[in-house]
Amino acid sequence: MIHKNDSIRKIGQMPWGYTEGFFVALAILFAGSVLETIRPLKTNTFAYPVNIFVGLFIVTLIVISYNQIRKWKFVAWLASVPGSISAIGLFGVLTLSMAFIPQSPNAGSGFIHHLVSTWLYVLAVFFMLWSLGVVTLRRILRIRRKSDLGFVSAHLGLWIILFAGTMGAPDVLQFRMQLKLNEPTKYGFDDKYRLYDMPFKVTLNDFTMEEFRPQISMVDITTGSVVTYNGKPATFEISDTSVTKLMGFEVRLKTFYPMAYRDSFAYHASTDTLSVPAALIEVSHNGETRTGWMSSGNSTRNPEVFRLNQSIVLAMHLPEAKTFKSNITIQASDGSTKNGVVNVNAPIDFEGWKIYQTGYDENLGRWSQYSVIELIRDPWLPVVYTGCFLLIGGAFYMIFSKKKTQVPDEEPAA
Amino acid sequence: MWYNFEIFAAISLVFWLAGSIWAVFGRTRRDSIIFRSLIMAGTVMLAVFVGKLWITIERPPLRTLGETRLWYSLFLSVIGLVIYQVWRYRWLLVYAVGLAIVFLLINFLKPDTHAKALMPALQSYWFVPHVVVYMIAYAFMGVSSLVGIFAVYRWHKGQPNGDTMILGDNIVAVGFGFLTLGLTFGALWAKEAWGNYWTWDPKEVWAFLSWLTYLGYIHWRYHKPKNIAQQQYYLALAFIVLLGCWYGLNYLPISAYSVHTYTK
Repeated sequence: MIHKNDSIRKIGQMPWGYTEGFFVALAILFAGSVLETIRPLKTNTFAYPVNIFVGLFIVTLIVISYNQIRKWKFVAWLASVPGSISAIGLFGVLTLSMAFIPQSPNAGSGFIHHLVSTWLYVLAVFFMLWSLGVVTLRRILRIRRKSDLGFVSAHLGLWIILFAGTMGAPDVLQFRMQLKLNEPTKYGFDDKYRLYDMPFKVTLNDFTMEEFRPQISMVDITTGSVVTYNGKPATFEISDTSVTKLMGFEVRLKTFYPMAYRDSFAYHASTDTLSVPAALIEVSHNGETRTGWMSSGNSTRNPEVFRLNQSIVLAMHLPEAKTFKSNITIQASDGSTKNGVVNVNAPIDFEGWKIYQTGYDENLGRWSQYSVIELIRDPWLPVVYTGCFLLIGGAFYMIFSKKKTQVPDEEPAA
Repeated sequence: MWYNFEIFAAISLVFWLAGSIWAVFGRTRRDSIIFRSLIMAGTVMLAVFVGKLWITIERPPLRTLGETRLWYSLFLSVIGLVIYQVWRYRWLLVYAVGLAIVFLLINFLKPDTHAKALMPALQSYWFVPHVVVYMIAYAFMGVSSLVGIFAVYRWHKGQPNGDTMILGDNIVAVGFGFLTLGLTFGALWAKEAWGNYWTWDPKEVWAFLSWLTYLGYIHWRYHKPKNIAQQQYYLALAFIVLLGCWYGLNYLPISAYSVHTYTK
């Protein structure tokens, strides 16, 4: 055993310091890798009720450790700053690996591509929970000042998030549903496209979408790329009032239809399925003025460009989605019903499930014939949120607490 | 479209440069009022531009890297002024404004287009608090890195810099508070937008890594306040991890796996 004379405040002399911390972290990495190779962690290893027992075990371990802190040298070290920094450092090594190695089954096989679902990660979390737990418990039992509250809020918050986030993950249910208009759907599928029978059925009453006005770019048809002018891409938005001046061309908007159809002469406003955005523009160049139609087209109609000269045209981009939402009705098997609109960033709640708007047929855009929703049930969410709010409290304490004083090395304050 | 960015930025730059030069050479109390007024005028000009941009593009200008740089420059100058007001660190004000000038110049040299389009995932009441809190955190951490560099400089000249490191501690404490808020706000928003508060997306991984980097620093400083020789280098270099999260990620192959790429 390596002994380094680290002087640690308050607790007194300890034999262990940073060097030992390095070896402890290394041992955990090694043990995790071996365990993962021999017996890989399964996604449901810690699913309910195992996570409850693991939680009870960790809390018991923390309480016993706290009581034995003077006898057990290892625990004394665990509750010291070098212990904390070792736990942070181990987490840092795993996070650093994930910062450079893609974490996706598509990126390759081997556990380095899914580090957070390996024993390495679980052991690192245990190490952190143990160390952080003893430190937090010790401070909770001697709260005296405001600074102790700030400390406990931040540390306890982090402990709760780490525990509930990691151990609660296997209890999360997450399914997608593809809804067709007016057809009740009872089946959801998971990320491996396995079908599940849901405890309720969902009916899509209406799918609506709004789009931004499409942008226009000057495109060099010899290269097919957007022209750059003064180092900036020659892309602009067509507004009803302003005149766009680019490379000696003045572009004015005469008419814009978000949805239109074309006959042999012009575009006309329309509400028909598969209508396209279209604009009538006026372009002036060297005293000569021309007008013409342009359109972004869509998956079934060809785009139409406005020719500026031999090599450059004005082309309309495909419009981007502004909002897309589904009006749905949910009916549970027990007869309870809920009607609501799911919008991106505005999920709706139904009997412990959160329902999200996630997708639509992107080839058809606003004319999509179906809507994709996601259904998620996370029983640990209130616990994680409790941890989040404690951590936020700790952050506010850090921002607004009285700062350390220092002697100004410049002019005195006025 | 840049919406007359050049005019506003040029005025800001002139005010900031004039203020910084005045701060370097001015000695009297009257000088102190003049350079602060000049720098504040530059900051106000930039704030007016950001406000005007917000109105013109009909969405918060916080989506592209170029847009976040505008806020970053703004907060750097504000933080420089506030710290000067509290602790009278003139060098820090000059450095902070200098860094603000650098980031504004990047926007000059690497212009991006401010399209009105804002993807539905970003249309949330969390958008402004999440990004603004992060930009404030980044500005504080940028300043803390300048403090680290200054400490290294003093160290090599044989000057005492225990005070400089305490200034660094105070700045890191406030910056870390904001960093934590940015991280948790992001998680709470992600739950509303994508259904999960944490998915280890590359941007989240880098944000967590930056958070751990400063978490380690705070604990180390608390434990060994006299270990300045190594800590000053750590503080000066820690900002690289933050820059990795903010910019570097976009250049890494791993960014292909991220949903956090809002720059077209």
